[in-house]
Amino acid sequence: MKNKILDYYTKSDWLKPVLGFVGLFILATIFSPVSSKGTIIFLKFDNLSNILRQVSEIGIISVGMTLVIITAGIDLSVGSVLALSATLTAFGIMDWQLGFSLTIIVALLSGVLAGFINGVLISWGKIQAFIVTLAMMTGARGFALFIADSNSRNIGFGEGAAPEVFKIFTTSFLGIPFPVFIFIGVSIIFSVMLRKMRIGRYIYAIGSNEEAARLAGLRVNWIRTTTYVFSGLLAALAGIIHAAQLYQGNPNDGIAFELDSIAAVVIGGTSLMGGKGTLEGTIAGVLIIGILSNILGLHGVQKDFQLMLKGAIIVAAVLLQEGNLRFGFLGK
Amino acid sequence: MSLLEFQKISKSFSGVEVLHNISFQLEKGNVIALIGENGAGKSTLMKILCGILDDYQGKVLINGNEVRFNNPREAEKAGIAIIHQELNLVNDLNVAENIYLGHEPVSRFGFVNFDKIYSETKKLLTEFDFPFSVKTKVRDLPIGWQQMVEIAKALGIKAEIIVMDEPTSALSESEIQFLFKQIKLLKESGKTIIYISHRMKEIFEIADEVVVLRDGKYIGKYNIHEVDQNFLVQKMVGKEIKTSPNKSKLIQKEQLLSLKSVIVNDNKKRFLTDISFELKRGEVIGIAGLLGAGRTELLKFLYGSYQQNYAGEIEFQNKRFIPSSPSRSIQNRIVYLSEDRKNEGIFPELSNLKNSSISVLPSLSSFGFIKSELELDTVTTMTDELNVRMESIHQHISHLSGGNQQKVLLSRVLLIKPDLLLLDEPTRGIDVGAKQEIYDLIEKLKAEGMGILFTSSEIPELLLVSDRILVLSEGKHTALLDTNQTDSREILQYACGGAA
Amino acid sequence: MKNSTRIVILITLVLKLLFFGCGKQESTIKYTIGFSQCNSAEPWREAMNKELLREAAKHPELKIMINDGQQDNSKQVADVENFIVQEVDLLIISPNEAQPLTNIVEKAFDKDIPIIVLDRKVLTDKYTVFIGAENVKIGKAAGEYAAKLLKGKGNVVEIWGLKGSTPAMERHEGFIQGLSSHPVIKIIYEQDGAWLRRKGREIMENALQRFDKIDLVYGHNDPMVIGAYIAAKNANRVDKTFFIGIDGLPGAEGGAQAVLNGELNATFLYPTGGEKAVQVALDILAGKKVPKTITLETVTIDKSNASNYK
Repeated sequence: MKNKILDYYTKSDWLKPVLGFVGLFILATIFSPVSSKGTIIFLKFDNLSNILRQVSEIGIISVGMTLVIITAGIDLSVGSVLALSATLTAFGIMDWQLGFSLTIIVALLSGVLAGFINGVLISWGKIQAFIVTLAMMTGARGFALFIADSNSRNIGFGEGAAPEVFKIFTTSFLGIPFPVFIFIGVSIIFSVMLRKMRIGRYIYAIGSNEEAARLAGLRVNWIRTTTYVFSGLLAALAGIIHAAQLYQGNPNDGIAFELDSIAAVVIGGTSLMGGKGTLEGTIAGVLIIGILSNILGLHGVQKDFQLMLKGAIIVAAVLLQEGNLRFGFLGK
Repeated sequence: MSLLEFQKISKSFSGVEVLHNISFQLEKGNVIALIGENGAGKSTLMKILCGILDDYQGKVLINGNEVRFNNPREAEKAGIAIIHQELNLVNDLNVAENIYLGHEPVSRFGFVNFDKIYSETKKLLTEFDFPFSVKTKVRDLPIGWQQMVEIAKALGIKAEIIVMDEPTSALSESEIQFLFKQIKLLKESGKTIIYISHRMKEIFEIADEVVVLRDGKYIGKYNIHEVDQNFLVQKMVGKEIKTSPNKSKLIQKEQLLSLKSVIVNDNKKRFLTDISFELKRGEVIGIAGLLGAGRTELLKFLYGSYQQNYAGEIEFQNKRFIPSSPSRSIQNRIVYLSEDRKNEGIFPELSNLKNSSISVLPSLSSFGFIKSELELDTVTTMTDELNVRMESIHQHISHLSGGNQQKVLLSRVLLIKPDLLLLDEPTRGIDVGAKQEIYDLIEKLKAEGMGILFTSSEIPELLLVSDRILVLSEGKHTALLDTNQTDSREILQYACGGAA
Repeated sequence: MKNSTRIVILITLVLKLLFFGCGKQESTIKYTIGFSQCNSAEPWREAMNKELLREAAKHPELKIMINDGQQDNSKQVADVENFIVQEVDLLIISPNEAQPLTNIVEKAFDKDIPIIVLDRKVLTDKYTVFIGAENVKIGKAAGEYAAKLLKGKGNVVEIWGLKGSTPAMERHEGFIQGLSSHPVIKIIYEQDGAWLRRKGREIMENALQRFDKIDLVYGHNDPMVIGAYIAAKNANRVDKTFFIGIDGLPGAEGGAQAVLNGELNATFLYPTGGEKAVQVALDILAGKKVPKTITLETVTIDKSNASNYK
C-alpha cells in the first residue's frame, strides 16, 4: 500500500506542484498576520478572493504558455500582446466606439494574429521560437505604443464613453470576482483539451519527439502554430481583463509577464525540453507565486526579499521535481 | 590471479533487481564476448565496471584488489575504457583534440600543449595505419575511422581493459573486418577486450571466450571453440528457437508498387539513381547495401519524408503516386518504421498506449475527443497479438527494452492497416528472441496480402526474410536478385558496386 | 517524501527569520497606518518614505507599513487590497496613476477607512484629505525664473516626467504659463524621461546631436536634469546652457546639493508632504476635523539659499 502511494507520488507529474501548493497554503496560514480582532488575515475570504483575482491574468497567460512549452517552444511575446490587447480594448470602447462585443473581438483577434505570425515563422520559417517571439515581444509593444501615441488611455463610462455592460469584468458573483471565473473556465477547457482531446495528445507528442511525430503522420507545423495561436489568444483575453480591472489601457503594462508566467509553468513541473507537463501543475505554480506574493505583502516584506525568495523557490521547485539533488546536507 | 573478477554483484533500479549475484573472472589478453538478450544486464554490469553506476552490492576486483569507482574518470585512471554504441566524439574538434579531450597536456602557463597532442596522437595512430591528418575534424571522417579514434582514445589513457558496446552496429562489412584486425592487434599487445554484441557471426570470429547473461543472472563462461551458435542462443534465450520457416508461396498476382527508373536529386548531389522494381501483394523485397548506399533514403523518399523532386514513374495500386508527406502516405496506407528508434520513433515521455495509437487517433475519436475505451481496446488487441512484454500499457515506453519498444512501434504502424510496409532495419539492436518474433510477424503480414520493403545490414537476415533482394551501391540500383538463386557473396559484390 | 519534509523545515526557518527578525514593541501600538507608495525607487519618493517614518517614530502609538507599488498599477491595487484585509486604521496612498487606482480607493473608503491621498490625485471625492503641492504653481515659478535667466529669448529643452501622469502634465502646464509673456522663448525639444536620471541623459544626448544651440534645460524633476547636465558636460556644452529642475531634495544625491555643485542653476522645492501626512493622520485618528485639501508651498532654491536645504 505504501509502495503504491509512493509510486503514484513519483509518477504523477502534477502531484508534486499541487502538494507544494498545499504545503505553502498551510505555511501561509501558520505565518499569517493576525488582525486586532484575532482573525487570521490570510484565511479571510476577502484575502483569498483577492489572491485569486490577482493571479488570474498571469494564470490565463500561463495556460497558453504551458501548451507552448509542452511543444518545447517558448512564447516571450505574451506580455506585449497583453499590452496591445489592453490598449485596443481601451481605444475600441472609448475612441472608436465599437461597442462591447466588437471591441472584445478586435482585442482577441490581435492576440490570435500575433500568435499565428509567431507560429508560422517558427514552423515554416524555421526560426527559433525564442527569436521569433522576442521579435514579436518588441514589435507588439511598439504597435501598442503607436496606437496609444505612447499614452495610457483611461476608460470612463456614460454617453460617448464605455457602455455599462463593460463593468461586467469588475463585478463579483458570490464574492468572487469575475476574472476568477474566466481563469477557472479557461483552465478547465484547456485541461480537458490536453487530457481528452486529440490535439492535446498531439501537443505532447510534438514536444516529446518532433521527428517521430512527423513520421507518425502528424501535421507538426499546424499543431505547433495552433499552440502559439492559443497562447496569443489567452494573452489577449488577459489583456482585456487587465484593462477592465484598471479602467485603463496602458501600452506600457505587462512588462516581464512572460517571465512570471514561465516561472509559474516551470514551478508547475513542465519541462522546457518539452513533452512533459500538466495544466494542473501550472495552476498550482500560479497559485504558489500568488500566495507567496500575498503573504509577503501582508507582512510588508520589501521587493528585495520577495525577489530573492522567488528565485530560490523556482530553483527549489525544479530540483525537487527532477530529483537530481540529494539533500544530504540536511541529514540522511 | 585473474585480471578482473566480479564477486556477487547485485543491482536494483527502484526495487527491480536487474543484476543478481553475478560472479566470474577474466584473464589478461583475451577477447571476451559478453552476450545476452536485451535486458539481460550486460550494459548495467559494464556501467558498474566503468564507474557510471557506483551504487551496487558485491565486489569488483582488479588484479586481486577491490576497487569501487565513483565516476568514469576514476575507472579510466585504473585503466578501464568503454567505447559506447553511440560514439562519444565531439564532431567539430579534430582527431587529436578528441583523443586528449579532458586530459590535455598543459604547458607551464596553463596553455594546452598542442605540439605534444599532435605528436603523441600521431604515435598512437601509426599502429592503425591512420590515413588522415590528426588535424582532420571528426565530422569529416568515415564512421569506421571515427570508431578507430575512439579506440585510440582508450589507448591514449593507457587502458588495459577496453569495453566495446556493440561497436559494429553502425559499421559496414568492410569496416567491421578492419575493426577486427585492430582488435587482434590490441590483443597481441596484451590488452583485454570485453566485446558486447548481438551478432553471433562476429563473436565466433573474434572472441576467445564467451560469457552469457540471462535475466540479470550469470549463466556460464565458455571457450568459443567448444560451443556452437545454437548452443549459445539456447543459453541466451533459455529455450529452443525455431529456425527459418519454409518460404511460403504467398506472393499474389496483384501489383502493389512499381518504380521505373526513379532518380532522386538532393540540392547538390543525386542520391538515388535508376531504381526500378515491382512489388506484389504478399511479397517482401529486401534492400541490401553498405552504409550510405541509400537504403534508408529510398524508404524515406517513398514515404514522402523528403518532399524532393524526382524523375521516373511511381505507381501505387496501379495509380500514379507522388510521395508528398508522411500524413498523405498514411492516408494511402503506406507506413514507415524508422531504423532510428530513439530519434525518429518513440515518444519517450508518453505511455505505450499513447505511443501506439498516435497515428490512428482520428478513427478513435469523435468531435476531437478521444474515446478512451475504444483506444485501449484497439491498442491492447494489437499489442497482445505482437506479444509486447510490458508491466502496463500506461507505463512510459522508455522503460521497455529495445525489442519491446520496437514492437510498440510496429503496433503503431500496423494499426493503420497498411498495404505497403516500409521497414527500415526493424531488427537493429534487439535480441534474438524478439528478432524471431519479427520474422514470424513478417510471414504473417505477407499472408494478409501486404507488400513489404525491408532493409537490413545483415545479409543472412535478408536472405532469410526476403523473396527478392534489391542491391544498392552509392544510391545506384545495381541488382535485383531472387533470394533462392543468390548468396551472401554475390550480394556483397553488387553492394560494393561490382558485377558478379 | 522525506526530502519534502526537510524542505518544509528549511522554508519555515527562512520565513521565521524574515517575519520575526524585526518589529516594534507590539504593546504600545494603538493605530496601524498603511502607506501605499507608488514607486520607492524614485529618490523623491524615497525621501517621502524617510520623512514619513521619521515623523512617525516620534509617536510610539503609530505603526506604519509601507508597501512599494513598483510603478505598477496592478501591484499597487493589490497592495491596497492587502491593507484593507489587514484592517488598517488609516490608509495613505500616493497613487501611481489616477484612473486605475480610483476604484480601489473608493472601495477602501466605503469600508470606513480614512484615506489621505498624498501628492497625486484620484478621480473621486471619496477620500478624507488630499495633501499635495500645486504642480502648476511650481511649474509657473520655474517658467518665470527661466524667462529671467534667458532674458526673454532662447531655445529650451523640456524633459517630461512620465507622460500621462498628473504632475508631469501640470508641471508642463505651469511652465508654459510662466513663459507665456515671452513668445520668443521656444521649446524646441520635449521627450518623456519617465522621472529617470538615465532617461534624462539619453534625451539630452539626442538633443545635443540635433540642436546646436540649447539655452536652457527644464526637467520635471532634478535627477533627469542632472542626467542631462552629465550629457552636456560630456559634450563640453555646459557653459552656455542653464539647467533648472524641480524637487530640491536633501541629501548627497538631491537637487539642493546639485545646486551647490553648480550642476543646476536652480531647483524648485517640491515638498514630499511626509511629515504633514503623519500630523494630519494623527488629527484624523483623534477625531479632529481636517480640511479636504492641504496645499504645500514651494521655495526657489538657488546658490543663495541651497545650503539650508541640503
